[in-house]
Amino acid sequence: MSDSAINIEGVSKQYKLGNEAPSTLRQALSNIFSKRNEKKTFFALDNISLEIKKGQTIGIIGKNGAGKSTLLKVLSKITFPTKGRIEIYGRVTSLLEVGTGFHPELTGSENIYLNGSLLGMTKYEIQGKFDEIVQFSGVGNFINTAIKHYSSGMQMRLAFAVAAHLDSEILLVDEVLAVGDYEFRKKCLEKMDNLSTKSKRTVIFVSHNLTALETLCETSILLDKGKIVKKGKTRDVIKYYKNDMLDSPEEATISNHRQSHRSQEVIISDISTVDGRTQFTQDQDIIFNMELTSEMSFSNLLVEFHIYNESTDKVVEIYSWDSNTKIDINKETLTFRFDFGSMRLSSGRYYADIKVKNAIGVSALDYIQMFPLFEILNVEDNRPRVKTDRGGYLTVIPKLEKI
Amino acid sequence: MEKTIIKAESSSWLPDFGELYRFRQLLFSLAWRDIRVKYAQTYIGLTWAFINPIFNLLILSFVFGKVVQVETNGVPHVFFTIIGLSAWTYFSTLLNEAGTSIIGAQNMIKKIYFPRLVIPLSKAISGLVDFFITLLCLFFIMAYYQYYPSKNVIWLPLFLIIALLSGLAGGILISALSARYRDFSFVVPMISRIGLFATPVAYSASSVPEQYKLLYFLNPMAGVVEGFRWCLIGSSSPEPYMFISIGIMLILLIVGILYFGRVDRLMADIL
Repeated sequence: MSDSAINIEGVSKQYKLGNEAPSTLRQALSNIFSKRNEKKTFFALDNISLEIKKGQTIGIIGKNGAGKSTLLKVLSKITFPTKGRIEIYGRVTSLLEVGTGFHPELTGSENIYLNGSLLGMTKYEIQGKFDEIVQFSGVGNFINTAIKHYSSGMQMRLAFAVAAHLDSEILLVDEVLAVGDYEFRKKCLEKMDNLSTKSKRTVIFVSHNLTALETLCETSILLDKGKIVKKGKTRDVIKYYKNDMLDSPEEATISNHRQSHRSQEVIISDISTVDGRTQFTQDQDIIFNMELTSEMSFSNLLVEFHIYNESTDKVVEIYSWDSNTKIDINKETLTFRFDFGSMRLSSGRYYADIKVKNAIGVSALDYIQMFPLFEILNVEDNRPRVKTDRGGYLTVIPKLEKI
Repeated sequence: MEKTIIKAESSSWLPDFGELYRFRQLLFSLAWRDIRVKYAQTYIGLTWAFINPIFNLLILSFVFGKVVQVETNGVPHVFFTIIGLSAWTYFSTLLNEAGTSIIGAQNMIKKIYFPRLVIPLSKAISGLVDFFITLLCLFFIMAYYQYYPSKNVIWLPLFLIIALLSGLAGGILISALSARYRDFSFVVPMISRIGLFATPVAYSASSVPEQYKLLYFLNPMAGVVEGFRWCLIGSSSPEPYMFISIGIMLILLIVGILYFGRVDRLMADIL
């Protein structure tokens, strides 16, 4: 017997676009009679072949829509491939979304049984692990309280605890750690590391968080448009991804980063730095102009910036409402100047999710995703030893005097 | 070690019964969830399970017992009707809950793998709570009229199982159909409404004219309701037409499971 845990041979997954798949009987009938079969399709996975060895922890990297989640769904039998064949040796647990199947009215312990059985555990397996699960989740005395009274963090911990204690040979994890507080993320990462190194589990891990991938996975694959474009040591794959796949600020266009087509009632029509440069040193003020075009009249719009570093860790959230200027617009194109001041960031590229909203919490009117906004250069300025990549998010140059 | 092969083409239309058995705990967990949730959110909780059948019973007894005055062979009409109603209510609730269960569970289906058939199957268990409550009402009424169950009562579980399988047969088929074509979710309320009158709940099947009997017993529940009455009152033995009901039920069940198996692989993509 081979030592492979998963063997993927030429797997493709094709989706039909638009409303081709009939969702009512009338559509199904009328499709039979109309012969316009100009089917628009796309491949979410395009001829993927991959062997994953037992005990290996493998990361999957890629932009949104590269096929990462589809691959996990195919491996966990949620959806089936259009072509190809997969052999899996061992029991698979997939954690595609934390807390699926949790019911708010049920208590913590009832939800452990429900979630455990959804993942294929028997009553005795759950009973045997129960104390360990409760211990790991840290919900303590709340275990007999309905989980609608839990904080979202507690629900998350409980859900991860159930899945992590399942005796399956293969664990598929998707973006689970994007949420939750730092302590919990650390605990989860440790647990997953434990699973792979000590218990020789095979772990497949999808994340936007490149730092987490790098600590957890020795090897990684890079997916783009449903194809494996790079495979190897995680460090090398991430490097390739950063250099070749992510846009540099000079060549980025807004429309390429617009997340789906929104209502278009108001859009960000242009972003440009004042003199066209996108590189700053760490003590320079980051100033840029944003042009908004509106077909309707809005008063007091909110522009949110969620700024990420190269490892896609969120560095800061900046809200236009925190300034004194209101953004009012009435069927016109207006330019606003944003000045973030000197943010004292570490060197590297910075990406922004930019949302235009009517109010906090509502869905965005316009949404620009992972737009490369600026780059902080690693320059040694006139002081010979100043560096801006010491580690961490910020560069702090201390003032030091002898007193 | 377990070996799984995932292929583009499915090799079998039949569900994987071994896997279904491994997920047996899920059957009970889902049923328990439904029972808990149904009664946890209401103030008077389980009382609802009594109120519903009692009101149905009152209106049916009034219309069929007092207004139309159907022939019941001397059995008090209230007692006569609640027997039919207990079987029918269980069936129609199960049909409705199982029929809408796949659409209702779409979030789970898109995120976790488990044998999908468990979802409609679990509704057969959760529906039993309401059934036993109705049965309790039935025994009170029985005691009030000083009836004793006939010795046929030992067959009651068999007819309950036929009711369960009938409800599942329709429910499984409709749940798969409505996952594909949403139109089918409108079918269930229609069946429930028509079925209450096309089933001998408040009248006796013996009063159905002979030339319509063959057609009448195509309804799987016609046989079950007559069977329930035979068990509890011990009146006339069930007519041989009942086997048509059972045959139809079995055909529906097989068709339902096969069609479900066919849609199963597509569910996450089409929901």
